[in-house]
Amino acid sequence: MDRLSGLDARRVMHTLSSNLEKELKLWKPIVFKQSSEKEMSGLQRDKFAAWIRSLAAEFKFLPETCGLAIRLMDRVQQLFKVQAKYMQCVAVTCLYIAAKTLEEDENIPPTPDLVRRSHCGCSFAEITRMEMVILNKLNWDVRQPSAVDFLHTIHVVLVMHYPHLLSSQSGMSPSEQLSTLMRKMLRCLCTHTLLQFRPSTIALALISLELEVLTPGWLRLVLALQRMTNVGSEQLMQCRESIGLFLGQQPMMGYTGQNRHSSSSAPQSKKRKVEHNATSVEDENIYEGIKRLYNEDCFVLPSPASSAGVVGGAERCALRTSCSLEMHQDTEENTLPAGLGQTLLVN
Amino acid sequence: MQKYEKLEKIGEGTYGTVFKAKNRDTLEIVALKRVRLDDDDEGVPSSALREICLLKELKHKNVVRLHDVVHSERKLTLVFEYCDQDLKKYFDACNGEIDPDTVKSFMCQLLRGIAFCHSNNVLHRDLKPQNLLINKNGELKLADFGLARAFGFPVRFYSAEVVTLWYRPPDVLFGAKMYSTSIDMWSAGCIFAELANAGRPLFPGNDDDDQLKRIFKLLGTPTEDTWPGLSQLPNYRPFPVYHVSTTWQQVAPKLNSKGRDLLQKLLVCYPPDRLSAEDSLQHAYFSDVNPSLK
Repeated sequence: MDRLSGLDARRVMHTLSSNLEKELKLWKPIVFKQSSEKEMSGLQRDKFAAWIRSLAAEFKFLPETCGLAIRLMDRVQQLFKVQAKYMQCVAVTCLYIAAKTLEEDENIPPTPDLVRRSHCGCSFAEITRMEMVILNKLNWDVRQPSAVDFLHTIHVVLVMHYPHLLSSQSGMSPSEQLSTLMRKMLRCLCTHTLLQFRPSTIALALISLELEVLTPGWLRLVLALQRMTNVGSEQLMQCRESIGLFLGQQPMMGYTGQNRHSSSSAPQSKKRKVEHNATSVEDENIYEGIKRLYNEDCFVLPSPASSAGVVGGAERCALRTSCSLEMHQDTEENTLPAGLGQTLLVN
Repeated sequence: MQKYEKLEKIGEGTYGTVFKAKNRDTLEIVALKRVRLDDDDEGVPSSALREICLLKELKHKNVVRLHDVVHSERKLTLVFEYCDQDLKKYFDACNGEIDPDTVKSFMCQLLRGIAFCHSNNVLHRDLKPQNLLINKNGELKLADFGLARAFGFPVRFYSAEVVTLWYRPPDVLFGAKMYSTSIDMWSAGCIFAELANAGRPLFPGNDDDDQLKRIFKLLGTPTEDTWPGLSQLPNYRPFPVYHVSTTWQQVAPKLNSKGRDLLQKLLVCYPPDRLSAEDSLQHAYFSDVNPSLK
């Protein structure tokens, strides 16, 4: 085991199971049925989720902070009916709570900064009051696993078991792979149509769609992952369909004004291609966060300013070589207990 | 807050005053940590928020128990289990003498608390005698999780502004931001030596440089050979190569040879080689620990 990278199979499985346990305890499906005009509709909810997403990118928060903030916002709505006019305050407060919980102190903006840069339209006295209301309603159970956390954990499981599958087949380093998935995930968090599914199901469904493209043996892998995560086949299939439909419909649901790159006439069916071309400033920020995950921080990435979309071929290529090299070292150091790897292979 | 009767002020925590109090219904003695909330401030301090969220999930006999969080007008009160003193005060009162069994018992409990936190993906990041509470039954508990954080897979970049100087590992002193559970193990090593020497701190440095010098004088100055990647650390600067003249026998004269071996395995400059909490508990030094403690 490599204690520095923290990639330890036993610990990963422990995290996965404790997150699943928490999910089982705290998660309930959300279905939007608008009964009065004062209440929020699903589409309004999506607007606020997308706003949280863009703010999280603006403040350079980690993807898991964004995932937690949206998760908290949805949870708050389940706990008490929030009138639409207070939603802006709820959304920005959820982001603030998520940041205080997960970000290091030096990354947390002072409240006046948050108020000013978010254009949230509420005073910080309102935010601090809302914070207490929300924390009390949540009974201080803030650490709730979001689909982003499950995406991380399941991806790590795959990287540990099949380091070559992910990197060689797609031609991407694990971190590039994860950041592509993460971009899709953050978009998925912004549609209420997926709120009927557990966060773990959403993460697995998204990964399974990716695996389907990568390998003919994807079904076997997904079955093994299903067993680890206790996600039922019917739920998984429904969720895959919903995600496919959503991502297919909105390949460019970047936040308005931030998407500097004008997409060429790339056909929508080639999802991956569209993804790559549509790298926006916001997405670069997400990538920034994720590349650290796999210790790829020492490689200089093109700055957002220089890459309104397509990354220079040579740079990308260099990055890829170094990263896959690093992964090789990683996997050698982190040889898994034979049993665990085999279960996955046999299944 | 009618539920609790305030008895006396115990001290000042990172973000508020701590009182001893009595639960009026159950007569249970508790510790109340009071956090003031000002409207024009940052709301709930992030350290308090993290401490509450993490402690709600960390239930172990070597981790201080958070009973309740009470919110009243402009203040937040954290209700903890009461412990009579912290390890710092215990040192002050011990007259330079702690018997070897007590040293072993405290160290074993410290490691159990750490192992539990680590297995729950939590780094404490501020282990020091002041943050270790001791109750009248001789039970030791990790407290003050204001700097603690959850860690994921693989490790991310974290803040280098963590751990009180004397207990801060050399990698963090060089500005390392990618650390994991080994950060707490260095502090555990320092505390072990301090326990064995009845409260004399091992590396009482005055500043970062002095701290590193004291460490390297005992352990030898690391090189790229003994510590791959050393010179790439953000605040790396070369240090003189010290001739190591102190023996471990001199460092902790009252500690037996097994204990000295464990101490050496914790105080390792290169972070991945530092013994983990779980492995430390399997060390021969603990082979004769009173089973009632287990």
